Amino acid sequence: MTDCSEYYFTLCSRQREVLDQSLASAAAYTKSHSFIRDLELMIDALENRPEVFLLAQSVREYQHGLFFAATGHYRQAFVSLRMFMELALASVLFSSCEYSLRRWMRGEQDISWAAIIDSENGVLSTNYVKAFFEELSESAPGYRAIARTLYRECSEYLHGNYGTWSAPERLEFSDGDFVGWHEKAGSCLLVTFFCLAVRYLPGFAPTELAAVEGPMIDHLGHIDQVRRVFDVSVRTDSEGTE
Amino acid sequence: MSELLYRTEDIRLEEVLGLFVESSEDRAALNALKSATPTIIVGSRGVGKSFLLRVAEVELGQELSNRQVFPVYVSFSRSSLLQTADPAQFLNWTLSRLSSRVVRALTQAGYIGGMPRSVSILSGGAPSLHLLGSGEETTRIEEIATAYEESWKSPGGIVDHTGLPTVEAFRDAIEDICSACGFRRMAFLFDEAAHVFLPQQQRDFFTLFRDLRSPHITCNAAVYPGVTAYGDAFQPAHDATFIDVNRDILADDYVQNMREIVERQADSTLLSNIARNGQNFALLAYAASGNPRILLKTVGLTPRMSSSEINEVIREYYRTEIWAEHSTLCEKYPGHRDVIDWGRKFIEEDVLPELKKKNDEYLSSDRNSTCFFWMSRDAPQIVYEALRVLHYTGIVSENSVGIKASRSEIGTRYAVNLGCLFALEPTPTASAFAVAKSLTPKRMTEYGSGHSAYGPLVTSVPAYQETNGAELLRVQMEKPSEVLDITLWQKDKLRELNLLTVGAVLGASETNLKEARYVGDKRARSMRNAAIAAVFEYLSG
Repeated sequence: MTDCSEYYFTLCSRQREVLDQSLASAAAYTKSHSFIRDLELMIDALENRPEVFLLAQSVREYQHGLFFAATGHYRQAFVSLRMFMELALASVLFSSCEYSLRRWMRGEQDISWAAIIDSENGVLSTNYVKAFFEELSESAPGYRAIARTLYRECSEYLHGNYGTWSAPERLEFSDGDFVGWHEKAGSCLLVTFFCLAVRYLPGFAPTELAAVEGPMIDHLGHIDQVRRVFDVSVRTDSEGTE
Repeated sequence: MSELLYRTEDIRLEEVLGLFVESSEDRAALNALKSATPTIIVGSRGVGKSFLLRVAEVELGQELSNRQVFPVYVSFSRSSLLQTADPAQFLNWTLSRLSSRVVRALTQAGYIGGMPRSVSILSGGAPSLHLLGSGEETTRIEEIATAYEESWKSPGGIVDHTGLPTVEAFRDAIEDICSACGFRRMAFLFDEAAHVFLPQQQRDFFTLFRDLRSPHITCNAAVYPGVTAYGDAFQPAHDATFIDVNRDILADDYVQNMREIVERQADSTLLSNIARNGQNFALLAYAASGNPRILLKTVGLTPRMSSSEINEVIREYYRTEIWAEHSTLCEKYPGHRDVIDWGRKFIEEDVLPELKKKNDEYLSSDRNSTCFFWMSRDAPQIVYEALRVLHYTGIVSENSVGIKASRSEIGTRYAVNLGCLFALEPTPTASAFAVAKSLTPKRMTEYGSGHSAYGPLVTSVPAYQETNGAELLRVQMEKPSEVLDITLWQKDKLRELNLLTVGAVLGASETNLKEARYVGDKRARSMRNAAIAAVFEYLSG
């Protein structure tokens, strides 16, 4: 065994120490971990749609972020979180333009954050929300502001802005970065589920609705119009009139 | 959580447009400020007057090539420091300040190179105009302004103002500059224009405002409500358009508009908490009654936006803190004590309980709610003085003048700060939203010309005396720096530097401030600006 490999084994064991400290904050960790299952339920409900590949990749990236955050690689964790949000929201944008999705799959088009967040036609623009789930259109500007701010905050880690160098220089646990990452993860999921709700909820069949009710209500139960979608009495009434 | 800035002075001019959330009322006020008609914007502390003037300045600057209107922003917040024995001190100081601001603004905009001789009139005859751009040298005029501003250190002295232009010479100089630079006119934007409790300064200011009027000058100003001493020359109805900058809490997009103000500064965690607790945020927005500074302060106290946080803040802030500023006025202006104290008693013991009683009754029978009261125009003048102070601190706002009430009596309708009304609810998050959502100005409590509540005030108040500025200022300078309305972090830094009194903060240089940990050039500048703005605002009321 070379000196070099010894160095990396030492890093691994230090990483393990950080992991132990991270897992001691069980509540934050378990919650962020449970988001993976929430997203998988959405993926299952969308299994026949072409853009689901992108959503699935976003969940992979989210898991990388979670692992990085747990093992003390905070900068990488924030970068992964940004990529998760970008991929997840791109899946929603491409769902309404299969042509772009196909070009992206052929490597002829990039994912553009500017297009995702565009105030006129992006997935959180009032126009877009109005087209798919009109009752949520008034909430759109607030969620757009969250997405824009999150992206900027995570980008600061990617670009190495001055304020992001307060993280420990050595591989060690940092309570501030750990808590900050989990807060941002919660915000990313909030925005992602809002976009997924806008795009898919009104078109879901009762069985699909039943499958995603848990995560949707957990993340968006504060929105009256979302609760109404899952209101059994409302649903039965509308089915009865058809 | 990110620190929310709630003072315009903390915000760099380049960032002003990025933080500006435009309402239709704001746009109307801006259009008026940019027009050729002299405009005076009126509003309580923290409603965004300075911010609007700054936005007007930036927009006029950007539109210079189309409109040919050159903006000059001048703050008169230092007027409370003038303590010479010269009866014309305010006029002289104002002209010197104005002249130096014009020269600086022209220099910064790059016009100074091709300047006509008229600029030397504004700069006090200083021939060395090439020095003006360096930022290091001062002109004769600036020396005069500084001498007046430092007169608080030795009250009663005389400032040599040789070299200062007369109003006529000033007007002529502006005309020459306009024709040389191709400007159609200059737009002056006077901030903190007239000291509320110094009527003589108000009279002097409005006289100057009138005298400066020319085809090449448009004067605009921001004043607090309650500035009413216009002097003989200025006719309010003819010489300026008055615009009240209060946000309309009944507008459909009110909450959305207030949320955008927070969105421009908040981090993603706070924004997510606002999204998850939309109704709690709406309650805070209504409680702030259209005042962005109060909103940003209270949002800073409720980072989770939870119901328990909101209830606590509404109880604490609107039952005690909002009144603290009002009651501090008693200490600063002992001559007004009876009027100020009566105003608080009137609102707390008469107006608010009566509105609460009405709302409980209305809402239990699905009718509209109220936060309005009406006062007969024949009510005693002294009662109106008390309302003027309440308006100034933002406890009440004027909703409409010349309203007919029962028995065809005419009077003014006021809205009381909604936060104060919510604070009477046992659990504001459970019941106050219904009050906010059902408001109508059609319902109001009426206070006729001889209402019994006026009794104690009418019998106790002696004749008014104008305030003695010098004594007042000395007392204020000895106050602890804790009284200043700056962020907790800024207060910590002042303590760290041993700047413990208002006078010490005022006398500190940026170099002093940079001695604090984590304070560099930029922060020292912004802290000093914030501290000094707070000092002046404290002194001016």
